[in-house]
Amino acid sequence: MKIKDLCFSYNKHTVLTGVNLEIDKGDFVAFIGPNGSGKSTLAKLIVNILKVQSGEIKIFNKSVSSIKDWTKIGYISQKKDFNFSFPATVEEVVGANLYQEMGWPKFLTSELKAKVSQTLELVGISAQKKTLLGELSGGQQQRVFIARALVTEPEIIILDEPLTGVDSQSQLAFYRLISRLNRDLGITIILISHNIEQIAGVVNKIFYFKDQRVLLTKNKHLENISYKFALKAREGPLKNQPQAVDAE
Amino acid sequence: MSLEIFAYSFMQRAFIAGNIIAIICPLIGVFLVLKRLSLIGHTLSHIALAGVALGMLLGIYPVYTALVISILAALGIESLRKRYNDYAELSLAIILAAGLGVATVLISLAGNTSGIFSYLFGSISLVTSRDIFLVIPLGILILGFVFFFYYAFFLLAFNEEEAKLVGVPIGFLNSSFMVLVSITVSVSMRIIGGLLVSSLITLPVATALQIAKSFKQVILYSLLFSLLAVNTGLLISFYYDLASGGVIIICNVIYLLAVIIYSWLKNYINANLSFNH
Repeated sequence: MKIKDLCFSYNKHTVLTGVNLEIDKGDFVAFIGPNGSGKSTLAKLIVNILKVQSGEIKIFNKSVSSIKDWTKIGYISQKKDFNFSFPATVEEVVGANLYQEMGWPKFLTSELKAKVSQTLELVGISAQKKTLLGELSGGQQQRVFIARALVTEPEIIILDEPLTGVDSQSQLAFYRLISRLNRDLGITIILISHNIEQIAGVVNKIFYFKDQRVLLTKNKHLENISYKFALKAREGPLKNQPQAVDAE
Repeated sequence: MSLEIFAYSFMQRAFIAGNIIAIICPLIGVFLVLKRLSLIGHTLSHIALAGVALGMLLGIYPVYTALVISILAALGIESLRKRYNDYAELSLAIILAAGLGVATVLISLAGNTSGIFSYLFGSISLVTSRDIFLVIPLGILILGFVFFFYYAFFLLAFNEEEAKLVGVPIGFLNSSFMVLVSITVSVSMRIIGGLLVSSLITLPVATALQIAKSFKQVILYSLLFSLLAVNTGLLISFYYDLASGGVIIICNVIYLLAVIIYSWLKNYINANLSFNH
């Protein structure tokens, strides 16, 4: 994924200016920065929910405006965008994301149902298959959302502040799970978060958002503060080793 | 109870039309409620009333004009909703006010508008064969649409942004859905009445939400409670000579209360049993 000279404003309020960044296949990347610094905006620009105003975003060497099949990119928006009392079971919520693979009329065939079951097993939530979304804990709901993104077999997963309202034990399990997806399945992960301490140890690139700019950072300080957490969350070496200090 | 009720052709028509709207109203209602747009039915019914008044004024069959006007308004709501994205209900308030204003002026212009009462509160004796020929194909159209786009509507209600990413044609489906809502409202006015139609769209869904354990169950229970309410409502309104719309809604409210009490009792008993163990 390549982003070149990207600028974006909401009406007259500029959020991002001259953003240039590159994310390679298999990267585990974090977007960090204060509220309103443009992290979620960039994520929405990447998945073409917001339209690029100037500059360019290319994924798989294609401009995002020309991409038709988005199933290779899993996007999990912020929790506030969801109705957690939505009256659907885990299986229904995950299965619905296979919309593009459904035949006509659009229903889940037994083959697609098997795919849903496999995905639920992969994220460790198959026991709750028939449970209503609203009856799950915060950590379990998080797994359902990862399963939704994962069921279409994506090459990139973007998670926008996935750990809001999730207890610390489940946060650790979450990092283990996505580290595994990154390491074993080679899925590129983009994680938007506030929590530098947790993230710095599990990712191989950090993009820091400040004053409309995005800086690539990875320094010793971040590594030190996150060392203990990284030991717990990382079950093996990262696919790509952390990069050297490279701030603008 | 004797079956003499079915000997009357107007009651046969009322039951046919009633059962079709008992299916389509909650079917559309499930998605409206989950999109947090349950007041749309209420808004469009006011617009449809303006359409009824226009039909009376022009000497055209009022259900036809109600259909056309409410479809146009529905598309207007959809474009206003995009403009006031953060205040979805504001677009409804604007259209509702406009509809009621126009309806009032047209009713006063039309002069002889004694028939308007049946469109406001519903009347089983006034369902004509023309209504039946309108409600059957439109009912099939709505059923077919929801059947074919079941998961697309599910995704739209769950999260519109993500729905787009998995390939749901959101612009087309949102507009089509609004057209379906206006059709539902317009054809239901004869039985249930323009002022009460939104209740048949929302009340069975509210009842189903109390006990459903999956999305499929929400739909099935909504249909069940709606069919029960319409049929018991029609029977009561026939035998006691009451306005059908009102009786159907009261039946709906009774079922809702019964289900709320049932869920409350169930939770209470479960909580006490587990405490005792």
